[in-house]
Amino acid sequence: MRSFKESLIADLKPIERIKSPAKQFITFLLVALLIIIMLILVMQPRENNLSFYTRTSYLFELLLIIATMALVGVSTLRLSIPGYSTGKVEKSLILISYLMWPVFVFVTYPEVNETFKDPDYYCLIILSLISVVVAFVFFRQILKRAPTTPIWVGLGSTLICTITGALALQFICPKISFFHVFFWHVLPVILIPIVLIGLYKKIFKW
Amino acid sequence: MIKFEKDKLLETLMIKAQAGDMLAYRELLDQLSVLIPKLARNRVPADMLDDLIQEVLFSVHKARHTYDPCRSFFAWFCAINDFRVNDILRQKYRHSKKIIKITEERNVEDPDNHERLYEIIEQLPEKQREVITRLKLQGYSISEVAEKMSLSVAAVKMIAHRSYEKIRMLLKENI
Repeated sequence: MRSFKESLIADLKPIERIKSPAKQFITFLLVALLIIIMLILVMQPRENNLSFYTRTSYLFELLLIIATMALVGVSTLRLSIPGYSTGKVEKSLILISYLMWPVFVFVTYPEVNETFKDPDYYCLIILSLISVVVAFVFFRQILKRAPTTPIWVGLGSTLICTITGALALQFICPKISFFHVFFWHVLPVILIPIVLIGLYKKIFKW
Repeated sequence: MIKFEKDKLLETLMIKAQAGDMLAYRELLDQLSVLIPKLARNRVPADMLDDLIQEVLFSVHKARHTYDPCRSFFAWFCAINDFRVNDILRQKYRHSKKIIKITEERNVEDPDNHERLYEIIEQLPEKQREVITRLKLQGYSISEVAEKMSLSVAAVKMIAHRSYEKIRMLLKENI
């Protein structure tokens, strides 16, 4: 045991403390917005942009998505620091964030008479691509920490990545039908983090 | 329950350790080595306490940059300790299931020395087993193992060191 301790002591170097969750989230948000802007420049914004961007419901939806990102982001970053809090508030916020946007879409996209026609993989691909790119940034931030609740941290981390993908779609996809938005924007955001639940313990092992 | 003064002392030692003070770090590790068995009391079997102490100290070492002096050291440390206690108990449970399975499959009655050594390696915790297998059975160098397992060279050395101690202990038990 003595020699083990000595090897730890020999490995000791002055370290830089991690940034606070809020500061770290702002850094992430800026990077995420930059990625979205680049995507919009490459893919061009939605055709119905001018008339659409000024709608109150659209602006509110944007705000809701960004608020979800903030809630999930800060909660996940807090959860990834040992003993930062009891974790109850953060876990509740992640759960609430899962439901906020789906409920909003359910309530404000009332076109219930339409039917689910052609599958639209285009939005799913864009959402997944953005999520993967953003995941490199956010997961790296988490891996620099020491998450003691890897499943919750994983759920939060993946949710923030998929919701960033959904935010990008808000500027690109011109479709406004309930079925399209619900199946190709909302459901992937909710389901991808749940599908990957078995991987979080391995990803966030430290 | 730990006293407030003790928390303050550990906090001070940790702040100094974060700045690279080796003496303070040594004192901190000694204090924690005493504290860990007390916190794990009734949860971890006595024969696993040494492993637990090493795991927790190693985790404290790896996560020391996440400690914020504005927050309680004890809360930070307990979160890490509980995490590792659960980890070690989970490993023990999985391991005992695996051993039963291996024994049933091989139907070993009188294993020779090599087999006994292999069995002992199988009994090591996952990370230790992987390091030993790569170093001693597959012939990789320490730096190659470090690269393959995304660990630092120092970490691989530490894990290997702990594995040797554990193997030695298990061999003695077998004799």
